[in-house]
Parts: sequence; structure tokens; C-alpha cells
Amino acid sequence: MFFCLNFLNRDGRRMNIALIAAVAAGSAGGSNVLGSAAQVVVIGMVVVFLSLIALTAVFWVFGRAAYRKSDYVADEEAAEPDFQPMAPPMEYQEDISDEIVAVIAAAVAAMAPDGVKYAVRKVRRVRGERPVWAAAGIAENTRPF
Amino acid sequence: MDAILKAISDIWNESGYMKLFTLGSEGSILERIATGGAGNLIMIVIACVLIYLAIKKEFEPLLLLPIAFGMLLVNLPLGGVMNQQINSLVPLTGEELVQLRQGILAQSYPILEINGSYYWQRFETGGLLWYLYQGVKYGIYPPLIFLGIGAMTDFGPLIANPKSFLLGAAAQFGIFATFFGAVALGLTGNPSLAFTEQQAASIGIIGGADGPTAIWLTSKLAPELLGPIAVAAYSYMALVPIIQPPIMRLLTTKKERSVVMEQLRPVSKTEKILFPIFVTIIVVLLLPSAAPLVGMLMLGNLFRESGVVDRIFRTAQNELMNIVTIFIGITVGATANAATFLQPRTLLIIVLGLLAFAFGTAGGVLLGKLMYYLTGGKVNPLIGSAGVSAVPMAARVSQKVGQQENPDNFLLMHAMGPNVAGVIGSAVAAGVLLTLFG
Repeated sequence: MFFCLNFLNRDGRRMNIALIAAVAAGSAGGSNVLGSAAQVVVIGMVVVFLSLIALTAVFWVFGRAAYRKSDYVADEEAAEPDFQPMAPPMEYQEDISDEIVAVIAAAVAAMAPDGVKYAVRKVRRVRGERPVWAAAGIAENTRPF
Repeated sequence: MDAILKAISDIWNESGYMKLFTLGSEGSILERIATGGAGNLIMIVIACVLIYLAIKKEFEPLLLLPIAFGMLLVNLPLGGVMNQQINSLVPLTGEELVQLRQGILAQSYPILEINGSYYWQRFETGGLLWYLYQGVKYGIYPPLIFLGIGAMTDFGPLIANPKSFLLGAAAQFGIFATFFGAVALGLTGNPSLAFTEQQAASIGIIGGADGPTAIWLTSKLAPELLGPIAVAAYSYMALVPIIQPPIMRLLTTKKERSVVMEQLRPVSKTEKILFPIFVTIIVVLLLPSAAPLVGMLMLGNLFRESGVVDRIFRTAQNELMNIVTIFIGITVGATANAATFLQPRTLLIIVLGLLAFAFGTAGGVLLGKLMYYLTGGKVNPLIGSAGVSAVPMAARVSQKVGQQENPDNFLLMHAMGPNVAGVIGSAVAAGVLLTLFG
């Protein structure tokens, strides 16, 4: 859009105020362009809101149907562990290291049948003439007899 | 010796170095810079700056780094990485026909006869990135990214508080407000500032703060603007912690920002499994054009929540996502050649993108304020800004601004609801724009 102005003064310069006809037409066209752009804004926001309002409604209803606070409270109460008195600590001699005791307890637990829990109560060193591994090897070899 | 020197000189003259310091042949001086090798040099510098931002400042590096490197590759002259495959039929000239009949024609290409006429079946292989770009052009990569995003997203906070959907919708105001602004610029009468409706829609989608959605829509409506729009979208997503807080503080009071919201209810597995199915059916029936994005997003989420497809769930959020991220990043960056990027409208796109983010944040916060009043102060308006779907950055910003008012306030999970709702909202908005202008 542009217009040019040449002012007529009393010394005789020509006055020429020219408004291009397209300015008027352009203004009308501009309103149409802005009008259709505004329509797009309205349509877009309405459709986006309608879609998400529909989802809001569906999941609000679903939440009301699926979630009852009392059910979750009952589940939380049921999930609370049943506290029992603690068993007395295991006894073991001072010259037996913690790692040895842990290995023994793990081996015992591994040997336990399904559904049965063994608890190691006491560990004491058995003094023998043979080294332990040798004794275990002999026991293994003589087992069939 | 002369032959050696001549050979070296020929190699140098045909190298990319010589092309860098040339100007285009037509147009103004700026246009000649943009279309000549000098424009490539400027783009190489811009690409290096983006690489610096991605690595040193960690601006969305997963995408900005391949985008920047793709931009670098395409602007190295004569590299040909984005050369289009040529598959055309060129009629033989009279002389070639004579040679053909005499059996002495040198066949550089196969010859095809159609209805008595003879044609060269000219074929030239395209560049590497041109072939990879077909996944962007045909809208394949962005839905696959959405598959991975759906597999990584927990919609629990949204299911627990369905009102968050509305905040996600409100934040999409930025998309349409920017569309209006971009169209209005055309009324200035300056052709370099005018955008078509398709281009305006592609610029507006930056406000959705969703990279795959922006790439998907732009590749369909205005592929010539893909480079600047992708760069703007991912740069602004990294700047969310800087852009949003001032707007959030401007539109809310201290009392509103200090609201501590009720703890969200637990969400059952059944709800989480039914969510993607319901969303897909409801949204796609209403807006079929949103089917690729929404459908893949929900499919990924169903993989996650069903718990029975662990292998493909892990693939969707890891290997597949990483592969497609590489391809989409590098090929989108490769669309940013000097001639398309170095234009006045690129700066305009960057400014409009910033406005899109700002309006989106404002839209979400204002609806949050309305919900604050309607619920008697139970909703913190700050979570509205998270409707801008930069997951999870926008939710973290809500958390951080809320904690500045009240250190004991934990808004993160409440803000995740609108945050992930915004992903769905931006996909719906893209579907609307594609329906109107596609």
C-alpha cells in the first residue's frame, strides 16, 4: 500500500494526491485475509478443546468407576507386614569369620527343600584330624558304600 | 611437470574450496551471497555455532547435533549429499538415432523404446541424505519417533487428573496465534514478509514445542521451510527454562504460585492399558488426519503398559528411537542449504517461533488461573505452562518456579499431566491444520 503526495502551493506546483485504487481493494482483501485467519484460530482451538474435553470426560467417568479410595486404603492396610518378634541372634565362635558364617548360612538355605526355611542357630568349629576338604572328599567317594 | 601442475590445478579448481568464494549470478547483492559459495560459507559458520550449542551448552543435543551436522554437510559445495535422484526419459537427437540404427551409438544410459520413439533412460544416483530424507518427506520418521515417545511416557498423572487435558489444550493457543500473526504479516505488502497459509501453519506449529509434530506437518505443508523451522523449534525447546518463567511470573500472583495441590490418586494398570486405546479411538474418529501421530504415540504407550511385549517395547524406546532420531536429525538439517536458509524470512520465522512459545505458555497459565478460581484455589496455575509439550522440561520449569515460592511444593507430577496432554494436543492441532490446508 502506498500513496504519493505532491502538495500544491500558491506558487503553482501541481497538487497531486494519488491513492492507488488497489489500496482500497487491498484493505478490503486484507480484512478478508485476517477474517479467514481468525476463523482458522477459532476452528482450531474449538476442535482441540472438543477433542480433549471428550477425553477429559471419558477418563473422569472411567476414573470414578475404576477408582474407589476405600479399595486402595484396604489394599494398603492388607499390604502392611505382620510384625513378629525377632528371633534370637545366631551364636558362633569368635575365631569363625563373618564371611564363613554367611557362606554356611547360604549353603544351608540352598539345600533347603521348597517351602521349607532353615535357620542357622549356632556355628561351631569341629576339630578333626583331616582337613575339612579332604574329609568332604572321602565322604563323597564313600557315599555309595 | 606441466602435466602434474595442470592436474593439481584442475583438482583445485574443481574442489569445494574454489566454490566457497563465489557469488551467485542473479539478484541483489544479498541474494547473490545467499545463492553463491559465500552463502555456503556463512551456513558452515552457523552450523559450527549450532554444534557448539549442542555440545557445550547441551541445547537438545540428541537432535540439534545431527541437525547441525546435516546443515554442515549440505553446505559443503559439490558434496552432493542432497542431490536428487534423476530418473528421466530424454529423447534421442536425430544424430543419435542415426548412430543407433547404424549400431555405433555409445550407450551411456539404457535406451527405451515407447511407441516407436527412442529415449535415454537417464538415471543418476541421488545423494546419501536425499535417500534418507524420503522418510521425512513421506511422513514416516516423525510417527516412529512418536512410537518411541509413547513407549517412554507415563500417562499416569494425566489419568489421575483428567482436567490436565484442558491445560494441554489451552497451551496450543500459541500455535494458532502465531498462525494469525504470520498471515497478518502478509498485509504489510512486502513480499519477503508474506507467508502462505501453509507456511504460516508450519511456523505456528513451532508453538506446540513438539519437534516430530513440527517436522511432520512442515514436511507436508511447507517443506521449503523445514530447515529453519526445525532449527527454531529445537532451539526454543532447549530455551524453555529461560522463556517460560518470566511469563509465568507476569501472569500469576505469589499466592497463586504458592498453591500446594492434593496428592494424585493411584492409577490402576487397567486404566493405563485402556488409556491409549480410548484416546486413539476418540481422537482419530474425530480427526482422521491425526491418525499417524496419535496412533503411533498410543501404540508405543500400549507396548509399555501391556507388559507382555517387553522386547518390542524396549526396541521402540531404545534402538528404533535412536536410529530414527539420527536419520530425522541429519536429513532435516540437510534441508537447510544457503539458498533457502539465508533469507529475511528465516529471521522472521525465528521471531515468530519465540512468540509461539510465549503465547502457548500464556494460554496454559491463563487457563490454569481460571481453574484456580473455579476450584477455589486447589489448582496451581503454574502447571498450565507445562501444557507446552516439551516433555519433561516444561514440567520441571513448573516445579522449579513453584519451589521458588514454596520450597516444600512439589508440582512435578501434577505438571506432568498437562505436559503429556500437550503432546496429544499438539498432534490434534497439527491434524486440524493439515485438514484445513493439506
